[in-house]
Amino acid sequence: MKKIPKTILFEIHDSPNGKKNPQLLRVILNEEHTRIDFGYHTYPLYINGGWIKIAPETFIEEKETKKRYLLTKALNIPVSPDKLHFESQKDWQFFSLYFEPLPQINCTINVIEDENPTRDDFNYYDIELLMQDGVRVKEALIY
Amino acid sequence: MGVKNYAQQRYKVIDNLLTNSMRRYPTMEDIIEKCEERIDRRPSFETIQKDIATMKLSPPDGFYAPIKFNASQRGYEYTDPDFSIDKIGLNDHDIESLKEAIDLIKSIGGARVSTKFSHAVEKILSSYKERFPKSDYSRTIVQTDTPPTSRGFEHFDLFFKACKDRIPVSMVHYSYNNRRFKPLTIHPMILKEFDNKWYVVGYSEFHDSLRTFGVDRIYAPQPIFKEFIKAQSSEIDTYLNDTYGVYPLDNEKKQIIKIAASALATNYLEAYPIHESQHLEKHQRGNSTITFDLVPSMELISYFMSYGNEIRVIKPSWIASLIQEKTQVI
Repeated sequence: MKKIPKTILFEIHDSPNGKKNPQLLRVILNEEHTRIDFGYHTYPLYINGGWIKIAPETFIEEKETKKRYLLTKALNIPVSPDKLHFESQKDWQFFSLYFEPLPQINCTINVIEDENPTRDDFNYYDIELLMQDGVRVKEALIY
Repeated sequence: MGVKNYAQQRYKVIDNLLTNSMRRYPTMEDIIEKCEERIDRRPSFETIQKDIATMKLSPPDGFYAPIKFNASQRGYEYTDPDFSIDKIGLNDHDIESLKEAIDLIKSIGGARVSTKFSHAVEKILSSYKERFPKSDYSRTIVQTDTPPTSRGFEHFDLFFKACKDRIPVSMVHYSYNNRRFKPLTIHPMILKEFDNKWYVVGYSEFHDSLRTFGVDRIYAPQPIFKEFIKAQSSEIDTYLNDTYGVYPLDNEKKQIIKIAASALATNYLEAYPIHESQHLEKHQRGNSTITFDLVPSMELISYFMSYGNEIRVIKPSWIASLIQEKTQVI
């Protein structure tokens, strides 16, 4: 019988390093991948809300060991050089990034799109994942 | 268990015995004993005789069962060896009734009927289509407001199951007002439709209270292993039944709301009361004073506003002022 991987979900209520857009919302760990959910909303700085994309080099870094977990899939956000162009300054986008699987142990991670970030890059630091704070997902009904 | 249910159980026992090719021609004693063994009640000789007679009747009372006592074998048999009451399909009357019910469900449910249900219905009817070549199954008799499938409706089945089986759900919610995403764990209790929009009502851990979430603003719901928090039934009743719409205003309690309605508005409200607490007092000119005992909601205020000058809020004054303010903004 095929073993069903255990999936642990963390809701992140306080945005890491105060970055509000995109908001890092949830981290979901299982044996096949690590998924991070984000929410982005457009704002008046850009015409028609501008655009978003994600760099293919984006990775998760385990803070203590410096081990990197690479991006494997992006859902609802194009991988650079493609872009998602918004239609208005009031649009929003929910998207998920999939990475190589993190171990299911207590750890602190950084999500790095660019190691020399500008204001527009999606870098997040010091996301603490304590297993006791996670909840198990009912895999049979998984999204 | 009702008498009819015991009879149904005995029919099944008799059918099992008559279709058992390893031990053919069961006697009356065999049938009585098997019934006693299976349903814990020993039927009389007369009861079984009556059952056999009933099974021979035409549907809907019986099954047209070809049961005969074989004198040479001293036992009962089906004269058609392929017969079984389990193989009895739907009769013409059943199918017509089913089709009418399905037509009605499709009419009132439209796109809101679960796709799983639609597939099941198609499966049932597919084998009967040839028997109904002149079927007017596709002709619309009842038409209701059936908008195109909306965003978030794909989560309907998941939330239905979560409500039914009491499973907490982690989800991401986007607020149109605040333009903010929020990860939330909710303990869903009910799916509610209002004005062609679907909502999940449940206990929200973040808000520590019952909340309503439009399914169009919900992303990536994930059922989780967590103890289900059930709201008090009185709280749910107040939340669902004492409100017109889905978003009761924060910190507002159930209260008397009084309006003056023109003759035109009176005609509509008299024909289509909006809440069971509605009390209408008609005046000589056809206009009326209407009271409601409700928790004020945004939908109620919007409803009053939709009538323009035909409705005026008398009480509470703050609703009257709010409508005035909103009208000026528009």
